[in-house]
Amino acid sequence: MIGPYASHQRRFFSPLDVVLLALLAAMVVWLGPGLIRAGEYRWNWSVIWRYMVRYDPVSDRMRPNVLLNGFFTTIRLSIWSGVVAMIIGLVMGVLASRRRLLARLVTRTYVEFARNTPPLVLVFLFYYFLGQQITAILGLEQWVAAMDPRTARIVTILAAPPRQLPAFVSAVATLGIFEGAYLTEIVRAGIQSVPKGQWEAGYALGLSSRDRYRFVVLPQAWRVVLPAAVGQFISIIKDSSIVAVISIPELTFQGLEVMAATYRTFEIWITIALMYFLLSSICSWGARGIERRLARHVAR
Amino acid sequence: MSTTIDKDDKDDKDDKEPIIHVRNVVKTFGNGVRALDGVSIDIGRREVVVVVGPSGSGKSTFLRCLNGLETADSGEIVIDGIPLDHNRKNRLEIRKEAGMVFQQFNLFPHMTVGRNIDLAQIRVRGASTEEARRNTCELLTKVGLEDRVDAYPAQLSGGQQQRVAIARALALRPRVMLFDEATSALDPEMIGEVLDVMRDLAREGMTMVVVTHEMGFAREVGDRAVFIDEGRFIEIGPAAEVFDNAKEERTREFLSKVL
Amino acid sequence: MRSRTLKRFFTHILRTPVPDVLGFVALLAALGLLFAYNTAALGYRWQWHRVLRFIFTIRDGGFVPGPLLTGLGVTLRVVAASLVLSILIALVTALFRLSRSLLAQTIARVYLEVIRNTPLIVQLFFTYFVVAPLVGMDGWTAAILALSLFEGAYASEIIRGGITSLPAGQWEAAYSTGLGRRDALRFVVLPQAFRRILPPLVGQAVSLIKDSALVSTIAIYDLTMSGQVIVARTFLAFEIWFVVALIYLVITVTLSASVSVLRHKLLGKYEYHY
Repeated sequence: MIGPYASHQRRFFSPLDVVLLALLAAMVVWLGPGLIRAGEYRWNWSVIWRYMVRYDPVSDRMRPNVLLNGFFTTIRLSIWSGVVAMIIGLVMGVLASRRRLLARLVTRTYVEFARNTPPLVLVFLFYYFLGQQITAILGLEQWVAAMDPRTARIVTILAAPPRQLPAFVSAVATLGIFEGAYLTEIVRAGIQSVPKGQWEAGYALGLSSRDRYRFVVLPQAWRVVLPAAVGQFISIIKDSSIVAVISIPELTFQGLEVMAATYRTFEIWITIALMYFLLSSICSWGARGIERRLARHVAR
Repeated sequence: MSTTIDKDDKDDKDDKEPIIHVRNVVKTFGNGVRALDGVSIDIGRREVVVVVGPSGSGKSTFLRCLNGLETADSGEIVIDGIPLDHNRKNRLEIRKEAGMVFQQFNLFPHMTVGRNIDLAQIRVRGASTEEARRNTCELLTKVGLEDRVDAYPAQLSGGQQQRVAIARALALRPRVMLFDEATSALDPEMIGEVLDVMRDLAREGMTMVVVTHEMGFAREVGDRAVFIDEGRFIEIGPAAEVFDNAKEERTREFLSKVL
Repeated sequence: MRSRTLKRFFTHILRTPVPDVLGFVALLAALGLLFAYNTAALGYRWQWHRVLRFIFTIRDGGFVPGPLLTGLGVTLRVVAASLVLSILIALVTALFRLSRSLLAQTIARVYLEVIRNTPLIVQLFFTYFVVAPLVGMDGWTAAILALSLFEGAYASEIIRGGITSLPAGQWEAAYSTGLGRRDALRFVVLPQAFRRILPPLVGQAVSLIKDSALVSTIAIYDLTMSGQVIVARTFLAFEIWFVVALIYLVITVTLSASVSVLRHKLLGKYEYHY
C-alpha cells in the first residue's frame, strides 16, 4: 500500500480485487436492462460521419462539416482566449507581486471576482456588456462590412467567419478575462517562487526595478509558470464549451444542434466527449514533455 | 497486536550469543547501485558498534536493513533470535526490539512531545494512558526534557527534538538502538547534548549501532568500529585500534581526511 | 513653520494605506461610471427598482421568496447533495489509487483521465442524454451524479496529494516505533494529511458551487436558470446578472475567506519544517 515495505508486499490479487470484481458484476446486473435496451438501440454512426465531413460539389472535394468545424472553432477560440488570458495574467501577475497596496488591491479584487463567480454567469454578464461595447469600440461591424474577400478568408481561418466575428471576439474577451485570473495567480506564484536572495542580488548590483524583473526574476519564474500555464490552457479548452450557451458555434454547441436535427443522442455525445478527450490528452501529453525538458534544464 | 514480551525471560538466554547476527547481506537499489555488497557481522549484547565511512558508502542502508526499513535482496539478518524475513509478525517484533533515531528526527509534528512518546506504548504494547505517560515522563527526565512534555516539536530546538526522538525510540524498551547520523542535522552547539544522552545509554549497557561522523565520539564510546566503503566492510576491529592503527590503507586514508 | 507641519502631515499620510485605498475606490468608481455611461449611451435603461420583487416580496405582511431565492435554494440543495457524494467518490478513488490492487488502480486512473480531459458541460449532457435514459434516472439525479463525479475526481487528487506529500520519514518513524500500517495511517499520516487536505478541499467546494451553475443547461431551475428566465421575460439583463453574480459571490467569497482562516488555525501551532 503506502509507505515503506511497499515493494515486497505487492500482490497481484488482493481482497480488494475480489470486492471490486463483485461490484462490477453487480453493476452489470443493475445496468442489464439498460444495456439490453442499448443493444436494441439501432446505432447509426454514419450520421456522425455525415456531420463530420460533407461532399462539396463546387470544388469536388470533401469539406469539414459542422462537427469538425465546431472542433476547429473550439481550437481557435481556446488559442485566442489563451493569448488574451496570458497577456492579462502577465500584467496582473507582475502587479500582484508588487509591494504597493493599490496594485495588490486591484489584482486581488479582479482575481477574487473572476474566480468566485460561476463562469456561466460571467459569460452571460460579459456577453451582454462586451458584445455591445467591444463591437462599438473596435468598430468591428464597419470593418467586417468593408472587408475584401481575401482578408475575409484569412480572418475565417484565423478566427471566425466575418459574420460571426463580433460574437467570437466577445466570447474570446469573456474567456480571456475569466482565465486571466488563474494565469495571474500562476504568474504571481512563479515570481514569488524566486528566492529573495535573487531580488537582493539584483538590487545590490544597482539594477532598476524593471531590470530586476526582466533579467533576474522573470527568466527564473518562467520555469514555474510555463508548465502551469500549459495546464491552464487545457482548462481553457474545456471551459470554452461554456460559450455554447451564447450560441458560439463551437464543438458543444454544434453537438446540441446536431442532436436537435437528428436525435442521435448516444452517438453524438460519445463522439463529442471523445473529441475533447483527444484534444485535451494531446495537450497534457505536450505539457508533460515541456515539464520534463524544463526539469532536465534545472537538474541540480 | 499487543503481544507483550517478558523482557526478563529473554535475559536468561545465553549472554554470549550475539544479539545481532548479519550474514552476507546484499542490497541493490532500483538504479543498479549496490549499496551493500555482502556484509557480515555479529554484535554481542551491550556492545557499542560505530559505523564510519564516506558518504554514499552504505552506512545508512546497513542500519535501515537492520530494522527492516529496507529489505535486503539476499543474506540473513537475525535480531535477538528473530529472523528478519517476510513474515509480518517477525518484522513487527524486530521493530519493537530495535529503536531507531533518524538524522531528521522525524517527530510527529501534530502531536505534543508527550503524545509522540505515548503513542507506540499505547498502540503497540497496549499500555494504559496513565501507565504510558508515567513511562514517558521517566524517559523525558532521562534526556533532560521533563518540563517540555506538552510542547509541540516545532517549539523545540533541534537538539531538544533529537533528544525527544531518542526518548521515543526508547519507549518500547528496545534491546538494540540504531542511530542514523543522529547529530548530522544539528547546529554545532547542540551536538553535545545529544551525544551526552547517547553516551549515558552506552554506559547503561544498551546495545547500540551508531552511524556517525563524530569521530571523537566514535572512538570514545565505541567498543568496536566498522569502516565501510562501497558497500563492503573494509575493516572491523576494536574502536581504538581502527582509529589509531588501521590495518587497511583505505581506512587510514579516510581517517586522515576526517580527523 | 505652519507649512512644515503640513508637509510632515502629508508625508505621514503618504506612508499609510490611505492613498492606496482612496485610489482604489476612485478606480472602482471610474469603472462603474464608465460602465453606466456606456450602457446608457447604447440605449440601455437601468431599472433597479424592478429587481427587488424577483428576490422577495412582502405579501399580506409575510415574506415570500422570489424566483431568485427559490433558485438559490435549488442551487444549495444540488451543492449539498453533490458535496457529500463527491467526497465519498474522492475518498474511494484516492484509496484505489494508493492501493496495491492493479484492478483498483486501473479503474481509478481511467475514471480520472476521462473526467479531467472532457468539459463538465459535456459530462452533464452525456449523463442526462445518454446514461439517464438507460437506467431511468431523472434530471436531478443526473445533475447531482455528473457534478459529483466531476468534483470527486479533483478532490481525490487533493486527498491523494495530502497523503503522499507527507515526508517518508514520518512513515519510517511510525514503523520504527513499532506501529502497524493501520496505526501509522490512523495516528500519524491521516491527522497530518487532514490538515493539508481540508483547506484545498474547501476550495474545491467553492468550485462545486460555481460549477453547479451549469446544471441550468439540463433544465434544473437553479439560481442561474432563474436568472435566465427572468432576463428572457423582462430584458433586465444587467440588473439581474449583477444580482445573481453577487449572490454567488457572497457565498463563495465567504467560503474562500474561511479557507485562509482555517489554514492558520490548522497549521499555526506546529508549522514544522521537515
